[in-house]
Amino acid sequence: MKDKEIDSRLRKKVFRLAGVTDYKYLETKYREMASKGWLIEKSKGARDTYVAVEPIDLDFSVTIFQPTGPLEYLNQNKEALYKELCEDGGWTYATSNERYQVYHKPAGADAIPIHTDPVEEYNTIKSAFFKSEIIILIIILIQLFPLISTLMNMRYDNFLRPSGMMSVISPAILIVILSIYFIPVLIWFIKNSQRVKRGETLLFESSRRIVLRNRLYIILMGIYLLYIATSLFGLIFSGVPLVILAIVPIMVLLPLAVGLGMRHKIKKVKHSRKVNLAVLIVVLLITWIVMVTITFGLVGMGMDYNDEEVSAIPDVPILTYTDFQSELDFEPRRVRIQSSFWSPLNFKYNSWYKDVIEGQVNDIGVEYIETRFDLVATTIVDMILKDERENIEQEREYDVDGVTVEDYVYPINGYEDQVDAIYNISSYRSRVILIKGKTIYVVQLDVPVEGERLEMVVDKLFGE
Amino acid sequence: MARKQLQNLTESMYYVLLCLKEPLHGYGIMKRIDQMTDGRVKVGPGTLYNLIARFEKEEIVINVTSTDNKKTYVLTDKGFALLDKEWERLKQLVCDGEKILEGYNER
Repeated sequence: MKDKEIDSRLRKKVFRLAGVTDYKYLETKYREMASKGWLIEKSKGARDTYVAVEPIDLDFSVTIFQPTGPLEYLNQNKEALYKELCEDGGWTYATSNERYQVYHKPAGADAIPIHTDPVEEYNTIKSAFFKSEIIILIIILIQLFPLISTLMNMRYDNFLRPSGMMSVISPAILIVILSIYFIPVLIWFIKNSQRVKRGETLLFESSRRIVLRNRLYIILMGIYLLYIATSLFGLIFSGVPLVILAIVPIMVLLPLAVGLGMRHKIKKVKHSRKVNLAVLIVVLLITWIVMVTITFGLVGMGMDYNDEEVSAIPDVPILTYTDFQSELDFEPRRVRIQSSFWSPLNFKYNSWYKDVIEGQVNDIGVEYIETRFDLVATTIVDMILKDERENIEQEREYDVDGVTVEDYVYPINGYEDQVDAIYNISSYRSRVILIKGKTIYVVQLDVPVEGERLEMVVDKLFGE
Repeated sequence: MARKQLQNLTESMYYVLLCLKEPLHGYGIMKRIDQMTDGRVKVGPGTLYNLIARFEKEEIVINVTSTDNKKTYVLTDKGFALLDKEWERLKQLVCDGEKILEGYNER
């Protein structure tokens, strides 16, 4: 115990965030740490371990020499040869990992720079990039597909469900985060490819910019994790059964566990790259089958959740039979209340009423949407109108010629002193959308919502 | 995609091959280039390692064992031919330069 305490005082572990082209930044960082009395001792994964020393002025050289992919092994003989050459050249070995080796020498001491040919150095970095960080580009592309697909099929209710915007925001944030990491690397390659062709030396991003970029990266990652956590809490409190939510950790933890297990296995027992690749493909396939089976199983177990009914209607103006002078009791059915970041309150209900104008029993269907921002309300209304125009366009294939969509989806004027806008959104004039500020009502009856009946609706929902 | 064969040698490549006319280990190569060029050309250990790896792959140099446990390398016949070809090319460059520039410098 005591030894451990001493050890923790003599050693410092620091999180390291550096791309394949950021090795000059690491040299600066290691030099600064040495001048403060912390000498780099170990560099594993994403963590550097420093050991306490007397403050010392050292020059560092971080050198990528033998880039290996995740399915390959470091060649110990080659590593030893490289080390021998560097030490013969006047450098002292500090540490190494799967990507690079770290050397140092007393500041100003005579030693041949480890890389003296920019073309050879550029090609080594390029090879390292294609063996390791190309995976980032693949992840960006994988994230792009759901994002584009969701954007193309987005409906207004994406704003209303707690997780409705998750399929847009989650890949979008991930793409931004990965791009922050990936784009500078891409720029480095493009810029330096031209420089080495002109016989010039390699140019690196300044340490200050890398530090700023890393901070931005960490902040965005924090926001992303926070967003995921709040979305999950939102789902839990919206009544989604925990059995369905169990899919999320399974989707994350299972591939992670399989990935780590594979890595451990590959590093423990040596096989050729082909064998490792074949094993990896088989394991991924099995994992995918297991994940699909678990997902379907859990969704099946929580299937009845969609049929759950909530009877309490929130305290906002709503339509009941009495608004149409009906004598029937008000018995709303299938009330579903939900809230999201964009829409704090949204609910729908259906009921029956006896229409005093035509003397028949009719259906009331109302959707109430309260948004947090005016822009969201406008966007939702635009989306509903667009959806309805598309629906009517499809219906019109069987309809008479000469009637346009505008004959079915149109603004209803004459209520400007009570509401911002009213639109008819049905070919039978039985569905209207009413908007005032951040509040939207979608009202559907079995009969046309116009004239005296529309006045009743407006008076009830937006009357003083 | 097939690896691009060596066409013209870079300055570093040329001097490394020049040193390997006789068996020599890594540090010896770096030192000899430095002496040969009076410090004008320096080949760092990282650069040397990558050049040797490429030369070995293309059978331009081979590794020969040495007594002091250090890897030593020497040119193969293919390496000699490549070096000879490069030398001829460089001589031709100088010769062409002389034709144009000799009189020019005297003016």
